[in-house]
Amino acid sequence: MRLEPFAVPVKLWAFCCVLIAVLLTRNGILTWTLTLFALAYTAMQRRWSIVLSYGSFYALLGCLLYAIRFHQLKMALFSEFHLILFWTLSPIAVVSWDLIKTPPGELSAFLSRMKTPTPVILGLLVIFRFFPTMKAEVAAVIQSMRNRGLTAPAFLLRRPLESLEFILVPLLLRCLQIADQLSVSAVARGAERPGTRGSYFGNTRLSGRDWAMISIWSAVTVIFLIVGDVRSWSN
Amino acid sequence: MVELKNASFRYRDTEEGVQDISLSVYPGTCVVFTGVSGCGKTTVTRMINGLAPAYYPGDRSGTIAIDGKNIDDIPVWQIGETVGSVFQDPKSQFFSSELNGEVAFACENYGFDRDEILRRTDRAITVMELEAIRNRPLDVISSGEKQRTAIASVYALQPKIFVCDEPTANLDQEGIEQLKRTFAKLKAAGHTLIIAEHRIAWLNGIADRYLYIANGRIIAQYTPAEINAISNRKRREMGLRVSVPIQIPNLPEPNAAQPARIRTKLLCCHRGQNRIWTDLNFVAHAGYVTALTGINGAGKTTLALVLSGLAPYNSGTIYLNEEKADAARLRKAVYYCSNDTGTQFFTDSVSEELLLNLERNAETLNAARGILKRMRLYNVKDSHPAVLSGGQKQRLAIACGLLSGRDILIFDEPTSGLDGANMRLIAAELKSAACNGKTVVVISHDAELISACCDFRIHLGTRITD
Amino acid sequence: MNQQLKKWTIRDVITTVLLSMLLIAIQLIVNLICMANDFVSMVLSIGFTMFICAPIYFLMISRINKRFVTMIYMMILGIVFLLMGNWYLLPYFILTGLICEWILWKPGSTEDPKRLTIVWTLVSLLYNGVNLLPIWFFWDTYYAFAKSSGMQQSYIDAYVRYYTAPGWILFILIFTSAAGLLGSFMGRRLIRKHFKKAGVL
Repeated sequence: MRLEPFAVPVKLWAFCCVLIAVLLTRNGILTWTLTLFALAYTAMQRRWSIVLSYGSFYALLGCLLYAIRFHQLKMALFSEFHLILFWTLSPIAVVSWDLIKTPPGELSAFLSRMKTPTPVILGLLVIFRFFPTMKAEVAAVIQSMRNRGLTAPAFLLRRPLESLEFILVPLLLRCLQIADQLSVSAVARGAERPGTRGSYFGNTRLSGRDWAMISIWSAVTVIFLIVGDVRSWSN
Repeated sequence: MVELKNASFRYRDTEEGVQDISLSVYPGTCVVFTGVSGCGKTTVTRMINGLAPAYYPGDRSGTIAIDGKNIDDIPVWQIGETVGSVFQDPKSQFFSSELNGEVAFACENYGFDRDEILRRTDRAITVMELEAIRNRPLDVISSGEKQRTAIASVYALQPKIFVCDEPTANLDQEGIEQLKRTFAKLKAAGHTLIIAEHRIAWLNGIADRYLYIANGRIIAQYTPAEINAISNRKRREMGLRVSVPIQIPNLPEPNAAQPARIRTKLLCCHRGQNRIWTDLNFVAHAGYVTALTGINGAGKTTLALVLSGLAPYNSGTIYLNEEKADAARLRKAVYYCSNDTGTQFFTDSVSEELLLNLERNAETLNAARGILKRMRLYNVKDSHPAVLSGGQKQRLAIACGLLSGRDILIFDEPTSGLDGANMRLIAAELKSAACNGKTVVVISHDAELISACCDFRIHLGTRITD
Repeated sequence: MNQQLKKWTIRDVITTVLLSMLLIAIQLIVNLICMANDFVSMVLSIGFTMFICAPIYFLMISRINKRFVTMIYMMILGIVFLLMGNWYLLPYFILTGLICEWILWKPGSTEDPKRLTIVWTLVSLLYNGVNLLPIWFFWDTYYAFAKSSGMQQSYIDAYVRYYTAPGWILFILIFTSAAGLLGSFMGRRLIRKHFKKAGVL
């Protein structure tokens, strides 16, 4: 089998499936079956970083829950409740992680096929640019604060409000500046043109492999719900 | 062809703008607007690409025609197909984290079909010589590559005219040279180039006509031969930079045998797998201005941050006054002035900014007043730092360093994107700081600045070893 | 025409998205760090984040000065929680957004610091749903697991004591509203001191 990313509709369908499955099941512990399948699904798309990092986090969760269940471990940090919460929501987390790791170009291609207005697509692209941009800006602000002696612990403790102001104000002013520069560059490059946006990425048709995955996810969800007990909302 | 007849523009709620701009730019020629910061050359470019008043609100009068069509009759998105715009800071204009997506951005907005987008994007990437970085994230490429990516995105639309607002303001020397090649290529292919710029030397050989703007009006027009013939004195009066590239002067390295204010021995620095520099022996003396030069990626800024105690290093030793010093001591003795003024100011007025974290006694207040006057910031001393112009911000950042009371001052590209007048002002300040006993290190490729104020030069890259 | 009723521009969209993301990133990071300790997480964390975030919200509303800014912020927030599996927070935050828009509906109210203060204090209060709703939705699962692991009833109950004891509930309500209120005052101060003067409003 070819190991390559699935099309965006498949990813969205997978997300709906896990969401419904987790929403309806009464057996939160059993979601491990879905999580394992979701990890396999990311592996099929060569998303090794997700498989590895979430896989090890999940293993740790599993060990802790095992220790709580069979060896009366009491959590000093975090709580047993959070472990259960993370455990139950894991399939959704894996599938979403894969979804947001989709190249923004492919998501925007999908949205423009759905005739989404250009401003909405630009908003989505900005969300994806947020993290690399902000990382650099926050680092720059902290560096200038250190340079000017504003991060000395004594200073931070004596004047916490002022310190907060020193971080927030340059960061916010810079944020507005970036928003302006992004907008000018978008407007100068035709962002205000009415009509549907084109796209560089994305095959318009789902392949056989995509359809197969859609069917498999649907089947997995149905089987899971049969085995995993549908929650009754009456009580 | 672009024609402006008595075109004027005034930004809403201000007195700023330009008046009575008349000119014709013929197809395939390159016209350069120059003048001191705030003279209005950027505004002229904004009138031509329609962003003033479509994006920057204000009042426009007179007529502007592009290929015979009145600009008022064309919506701004349609102007973009004929007039491509290139801005100062490419890194905060990207909508994509990778090259293909960014270059295709404009074509996508114009709704071309997919085959057409692919064809145009590929062609733009080839013409802009970006093939080699196709698979690298845009956040890690050099400033010159970023600017060429921005140009490629516009180029993909095949506009007849390119309008550029200080395209080199955030570029290093290597980036500028690459950009020069790119613009020469665009001109050879018949595109019209309209460029607003301080650093005009790189345009030598490309520009056909220079327009000198002052106080919002075109004051003079020059052919390349005429602008190159302007005497140094006149150029200084006009606040211009040189119009022909000059060489960085041959300055000696600082004498390592003499006692130094700051010295490094066998300093090594890695970032991940990447060796930035190894066995670096750096020396700077009090009372002198030392230039730190080196090719792009040689680790000049990293060295500055390490010397200022703001970044870690892997091995070796740093000495202050010949005594071993750790990062905390370095931070007390060394001031690092970055060239990115966007995140450097914390307070609500220029004077507060200068006095931030300093003891307020008569002496510092006096010193602050003096520095504000010398830096021509006294009239804006109560303004918020965010409203200052680029040149004023740069001067304020340098003033903060000079007043910080620290002995060693490191300035990182303090004059990139500054006009001749500001550059000379800063050169004079650095020199006078050194005369007052400070140790000044300036990372720069600005040959004019280095000739004007530096005593020594250290070149990174050809490794400085014993 | 009143500014608040004007059409949205590209710049408005981009500014709203960027500042909303900044708000959400700070909220999530603080909440995640606070999760390490039950008391800090359930009682204090919301107050902290709402205090820190208030200036950002004030700046966002004042800068764009149009309807539906809060709604967009709430929708992005809800979608982020949806992607983490907490689907019920999407309708919850959309509802919160509707209430806020209703308070800010009258033209001119986005420039009225009092109304903004009311909105942000309310948002602070309702943001407690981030902690409360997951417990409500996943309590069965947790309870079954806890019982089968042999935990004492008292130990299980202790986890939710902050949300069951009237004294604690009252404290949380007062603390988060007060933090939101104080944050609003700081937001108003920073707007006056910095952003008006910096010419960005």
